[in-house]
Amino acid sequence: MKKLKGLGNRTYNVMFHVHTVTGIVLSFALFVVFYAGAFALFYHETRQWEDPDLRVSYIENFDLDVAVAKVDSLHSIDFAEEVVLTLPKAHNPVLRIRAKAKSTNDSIEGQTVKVAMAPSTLRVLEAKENNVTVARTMYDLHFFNQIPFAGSVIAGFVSLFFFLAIISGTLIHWRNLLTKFYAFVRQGKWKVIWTNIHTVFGIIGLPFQIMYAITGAILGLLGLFALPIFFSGKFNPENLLAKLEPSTVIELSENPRNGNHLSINQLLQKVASDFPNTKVESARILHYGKEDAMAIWYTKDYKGLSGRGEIVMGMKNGNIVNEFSVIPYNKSYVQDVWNYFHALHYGNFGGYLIKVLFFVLSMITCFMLISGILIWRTARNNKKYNFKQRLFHHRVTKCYLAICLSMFPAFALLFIANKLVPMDMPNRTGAVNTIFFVSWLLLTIYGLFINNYSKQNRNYLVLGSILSLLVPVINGVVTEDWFWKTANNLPWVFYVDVFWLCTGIIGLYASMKVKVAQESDRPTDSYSNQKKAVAQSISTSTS
Amino acid sequence: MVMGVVFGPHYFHNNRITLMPANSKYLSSGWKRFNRLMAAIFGGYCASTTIFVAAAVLSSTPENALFSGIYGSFILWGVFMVMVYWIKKVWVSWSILLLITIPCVLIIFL
Repeated sequence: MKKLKGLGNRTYNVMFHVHTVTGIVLSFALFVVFYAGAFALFYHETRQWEDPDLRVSYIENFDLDVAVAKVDSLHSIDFAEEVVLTLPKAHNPVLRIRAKAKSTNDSIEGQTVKVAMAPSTLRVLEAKENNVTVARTMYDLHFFNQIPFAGSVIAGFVSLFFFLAIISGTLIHWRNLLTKFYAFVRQGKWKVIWTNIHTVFGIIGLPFQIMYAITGAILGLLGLFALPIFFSGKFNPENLLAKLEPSTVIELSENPRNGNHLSINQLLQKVASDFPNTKVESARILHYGKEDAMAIWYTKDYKGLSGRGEIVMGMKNGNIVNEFSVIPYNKSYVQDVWNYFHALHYGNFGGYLIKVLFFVLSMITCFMLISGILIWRTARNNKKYNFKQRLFHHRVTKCYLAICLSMFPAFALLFIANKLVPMDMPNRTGAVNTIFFVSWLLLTIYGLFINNYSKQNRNYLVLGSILSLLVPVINGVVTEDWFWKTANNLPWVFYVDVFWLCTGIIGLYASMKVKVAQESDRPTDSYSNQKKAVAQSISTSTS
Repeated sequence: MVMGVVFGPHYFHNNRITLMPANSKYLSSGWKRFNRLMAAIFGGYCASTTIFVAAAVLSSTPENALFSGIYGSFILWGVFMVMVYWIKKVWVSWSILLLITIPCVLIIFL
């Protein structure tokens, strides 16, 4: 196969150095971002597993007006304010209504009322503070949101420099791009094996990684792009927002008169017939029960990149107000750009195929990052470096591997902690988060005592697999929703359980296949010592 | 030489054996390294952002230019960073970036 023209000597070496430095500084942070992000793709799908209160049966047809009337009778809603409805979904089958209560005193604003209802019976579910955190913790960890203020900016810069590492990495690999496209080589020197893994998986994941590097940088660093926009004073942020989401600038009369209009269900049916194959996720009802009532339907179809919609309807006759609406597949440039970026980053297109594909590609990216760390170390484990330098290389590698590989058992522990901590405990989310982060820290420290990378890998794999197998068992014991019972009525609880079960079995099988090297990876201070250590290990293994 | 042969043909580059850590004779150090880094990060940011905002000021549909800039500026920032490391002389990179930034800043703020 024809080789492409490579870079010149100087450019090659400089690009190599850029790739090495950005890579070794960012690799563990990127691993955390991609690993947590892969799980965060299934944020909503994990909700029913983590919160037993959400395990109610899902129905699509029920009377929304009765539900609103029920909330009104309980809390007396102020209908001059908006009423927000979050409709039940298969994986989160609870109806949520948010509104403002009428204030008894004119000068004080009414309290915000939040009600959750089981759609089948319209029974009001017990109002609890937000006490579950598995999905939230994984989502927050994905952009270091646990670090106040700076977290998302750090994640944004990590993303940006990941983009730099991608470009420089592709450039240095350029000459072998075609000839080494399928170089899944398993034989030979470790340096060659790690390099081939790194380049082959790097190229397979290239479009996916570029997409996430850029959309991630946008999410984290949008403020930096916005700086000159605000300081120039030539752009009106409200105008920009109106172009993006025109429904935010709807102005209705201050003192509306009461009047009749179509019911919420009739309008919902109209949306369903006008936009087949889309699903209404949530709605805002303005001036319910008044003459100028309006409904804003937020729709998604999970298929196309441009499938999100905001459909504004006058409730009197059910006509769509095009001026304020964002119609799926018929949007302005600005709305499309914003929509594409969200759909791409959150995997909200192409159905679950894309989410599963993105999950697998994230794991491939994690593997590529680990192989990158190991290239860095293997390329420096020679006589050109003195003992002190080599010890440093070893310690960095050991530390990075410990942080990265211990995420697998730590995530399984997060799921277990969610079930073991009692649901009615005060500050429950704090307790679950503490268990997760402390156990991750302890697991990392444990890894620092292992001076052998293959042993480190094997031990984390065994630990993680055993904990994974415990996840469905503990869910079964605590909630009595064993995975053989949930397959029909609670599919998302079933999928989460089966995911951990399969992960545990595959992990245990893989851990048996790991060949643990006899000798330590810690460098010894002279060549003779190294020889002595090898001779010793051979004699102990043979005896 | 021998080491390169041992590690296999993958490390032959442009008919020269290149060992894996980059050859330090091509890398800058000290103040020069800091200068290059600043050109890449700060210079790259200024040029990539102002170019889109300036385009928005001149454009009749500013919102379209700005939303193109949301993607474009970050892609361009990455490209500028690579450019700074590609070009041998840092002052050349600085001049390219400033030649883009200064007119754009004048358009935005005047």
